[in-house]
Amino acid sequence: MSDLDRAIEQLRQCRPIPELQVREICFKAREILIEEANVQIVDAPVTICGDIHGQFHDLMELFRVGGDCPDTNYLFMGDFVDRGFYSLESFLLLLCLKVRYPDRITLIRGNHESRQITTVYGFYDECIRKYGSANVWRYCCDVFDYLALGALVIGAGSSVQPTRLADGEDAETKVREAEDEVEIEVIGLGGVVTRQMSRRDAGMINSTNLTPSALPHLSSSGPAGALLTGVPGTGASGNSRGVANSNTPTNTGGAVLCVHGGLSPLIDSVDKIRLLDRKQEVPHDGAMCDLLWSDPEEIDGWGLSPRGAGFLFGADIVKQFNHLNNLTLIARAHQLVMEGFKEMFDSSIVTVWSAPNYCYRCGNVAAILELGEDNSNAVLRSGGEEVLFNRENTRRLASTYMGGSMKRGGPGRRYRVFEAAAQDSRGMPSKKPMPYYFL
Amino acid sequence: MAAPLAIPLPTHTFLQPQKLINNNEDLPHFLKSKAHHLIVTYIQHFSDALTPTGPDTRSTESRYADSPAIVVSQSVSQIVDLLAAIEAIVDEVPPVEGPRRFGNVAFRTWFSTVEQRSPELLRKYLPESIVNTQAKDDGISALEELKVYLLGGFGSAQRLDYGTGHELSFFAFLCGIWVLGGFETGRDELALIFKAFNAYLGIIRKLVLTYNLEPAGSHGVWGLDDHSFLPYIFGSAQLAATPEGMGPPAPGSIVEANTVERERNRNMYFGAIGFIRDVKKGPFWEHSPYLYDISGAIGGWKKINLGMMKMYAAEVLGKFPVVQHFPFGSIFSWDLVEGARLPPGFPSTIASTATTSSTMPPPSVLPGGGNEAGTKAPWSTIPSDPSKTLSAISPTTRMRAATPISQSNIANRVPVSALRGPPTGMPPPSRPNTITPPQNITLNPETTTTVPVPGGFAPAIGGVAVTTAPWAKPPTGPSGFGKGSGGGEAASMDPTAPESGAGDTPVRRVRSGSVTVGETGSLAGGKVVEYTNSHNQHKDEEK
Repeated sequence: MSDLDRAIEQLRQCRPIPELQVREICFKAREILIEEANVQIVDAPVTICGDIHGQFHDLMELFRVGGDCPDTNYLFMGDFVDRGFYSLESFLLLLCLKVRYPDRITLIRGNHESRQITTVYGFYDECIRKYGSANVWRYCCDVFDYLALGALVIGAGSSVQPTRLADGEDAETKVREAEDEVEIEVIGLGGVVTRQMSRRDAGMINSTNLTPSALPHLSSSGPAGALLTGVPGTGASGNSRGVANSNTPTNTGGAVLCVHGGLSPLIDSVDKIRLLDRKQEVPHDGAMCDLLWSDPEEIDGWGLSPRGAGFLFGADIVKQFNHLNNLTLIARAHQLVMEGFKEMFDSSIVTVWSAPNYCYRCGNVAAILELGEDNSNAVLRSGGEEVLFNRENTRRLASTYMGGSMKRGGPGRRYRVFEAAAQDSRGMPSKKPMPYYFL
Repeated sequence: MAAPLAIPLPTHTFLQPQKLINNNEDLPHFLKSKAHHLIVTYIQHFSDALTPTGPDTRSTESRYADSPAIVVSQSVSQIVDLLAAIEAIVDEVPPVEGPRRFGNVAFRTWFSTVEQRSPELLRKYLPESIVNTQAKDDGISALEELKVYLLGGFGSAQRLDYGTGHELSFFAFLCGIWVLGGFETGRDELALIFKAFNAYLGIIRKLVLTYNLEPAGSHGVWGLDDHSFLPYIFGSAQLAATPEGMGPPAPGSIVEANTVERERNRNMYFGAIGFIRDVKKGPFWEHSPYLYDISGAIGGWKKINLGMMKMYAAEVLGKFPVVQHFPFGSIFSWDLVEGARLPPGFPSTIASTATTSSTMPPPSVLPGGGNEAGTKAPWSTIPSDPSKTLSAISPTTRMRAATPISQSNIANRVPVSALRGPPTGMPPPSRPNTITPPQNITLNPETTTTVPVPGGFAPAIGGVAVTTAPWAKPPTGPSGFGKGSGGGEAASMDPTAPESGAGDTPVRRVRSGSVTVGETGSLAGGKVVEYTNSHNQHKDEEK
């Protein structure tokens, strides 16, 4: 077992690793990250995660729900640190995994991956408390400067692939998938499929597997089966306008841009993100700042952000950006959502939040977003009869669904919703040196 | 007995309280002001009054909140009735059903109802001598001045949050009545804190739970408490005469569920801990490590009480983001106390202490632009006397000193600075007053004036859910406590302070020097300029 594997093992048990080892891993991580583009290209299948905020035990729950790394490919959209008690362990574990499996896990930068923010919101205090000095905080901050600003997921399939349940048993959805293209699937608490929405019947909820009681947040948001409501928490209730893919009769879900905050008025193309020099502290304004700080909002155009950094941006901005850049979806994090995820603007943007019961008290559930592989492409590569079948199938689907109404764009999306990890008695630590005022 | 710092009612001219702390540079003035002196005097006065007279159990029990020995005078019971009337309004305004991201917008309705009824409520419940005081000269009535502090005590309707800045405002309301002779010194202290202030805390807890108010400027687990501070001062005072190991609960027992349940109704410290336990899941030491560490203080409750006072002076009264909304009028006067010095809790004093002792975590607990001292990176250059030197140097100079110019910085800044501000090659000292949007980009006027947008997806600022930039200024103009947008401790700066953020926000902590930025920078400046141009062109075409 290598030192790195040992470090991963130790961190999985939520035990910090020695300072010297942190230094070494941070150094290696920088060597890897330095090679990555500002917008890292990631192949589907991949599981996209939102804010973690040092909630280590919930991060472990996330891996339980989504599959372990490297068996599942992960993309974390930043905000690993601050506010929670285990920012250090959480970030270092993810970093070790990055060093160990660089192609299996992608880390992008959040607004909390910054010297200035971590000194205000806790990570600095945590490092001091756990190591007695700021060295580790310094090493981590040096890594922050090298994290990518975004990622582009390509090769995602347009339909949700068969449910992989925790016990390995395929859900009956597989059968249904042959006849119907599932666009959105929500797997609620306990690994039960709570909602499914087919692409053909935009706005119809397939209620075969509905178990609303498993997900009270969702079930209470709207009448199940109502014709005009999509999956609660999603905007999948109408045609997705402005999505480049909507007129291409293929089985691909198009490209998905992942970024922590959102868009910037200074950035109108993904290429312009590539032109930024990211290797620095997050600036107070400008394109790099906006990407990490902005929020979508029900407005037209751009608005001032109440956060004092970044902007608010409306549906028109997102749709135009997606259209110009041939994107079908923007995935972002940055805002607490009680239901764990929230699609907005006709499913052109989604907020994914992965810190359940945020700050020990918010009572929210968390979610991760799985984007499946594009099946037709996969088969195409391997050749054989299946290619024909899939092409045929695609054509059939296309003729069926493109005829009457416009086909909705966007990749097939499976949201897995989970709750905070069970709180076992984790022992009582010794009290740390007294805060200054109480000496 | 005369009240400390009493104000002679008949001859006094009352004034409309105004926001006067506009930037970090105003903080030292505040700390030497009569208002600050009044607040500190009264916190000390109540803390002393709540401390048992002897170390014996009987004496300690006489300081329990539910002790039958506590005399509730007519004037205190009127305040309790006032608070009951305010609390009853919560039942009139149920939370709005339906999807929402976090805070409940019904709180705004509750707040405006209280605002509407407050003149009538104050006339009904405040002492007659105060009610009958008329406005003179160009002043206002006593009730009108006090009302501002009362309304400032119930959180921010705009941001749907609540924090220690609001708590301070309500405390000022009680102090104001006291100095105007509404209570009797030596008689009303215990009842005012145990009955009235406790009733206030009850309302706050109810508001937080009913409308899901966010903690203003929360640091997550790395703060003392999400919302409150004063109950820790008063509660520790209640036990401060008890030597360790004797009768009443030891500080370490805050982690014992049954002790907390037994004590929470009679001790305010345990009351606050009890509320934390109500709302938070998980091990106590994990979600509240600061309180957990404190519970091991050598010297017991007395030490904790002293520590809480010091911490309050530094982390609440000494923090710009917290006190910036506190308004000043005739009772809480902006005038300087003659010969006043900066209090010992002032951050700059702590800075020098903290940085000299290397093993000690810096005392950073509450948010703050001003708390750079507490969380400053130890290796960064700190002037020997920060209080003098830092204010003497211009913010820009300070920025330069802290952030070495690098090629890459410039490269990344060009498009921004070309559009938004002077091409300085590094982040400007603070965010501009009114955002100058990049050319050709129209900011939505509706959002710029009404943030957050009521009706669901409203971004709440400065709380648990949302991180506010420490250098940020509030998006809307200054408004008094009474408008419901003040008093929070969202780490935001005031828009009227162009240079406020400047060097006094944690900007100075930014240290990009050690990362050899630019080393791998792939961009030459020229290319970026080109990008800027094409960006503009593009936008023009779209138009």
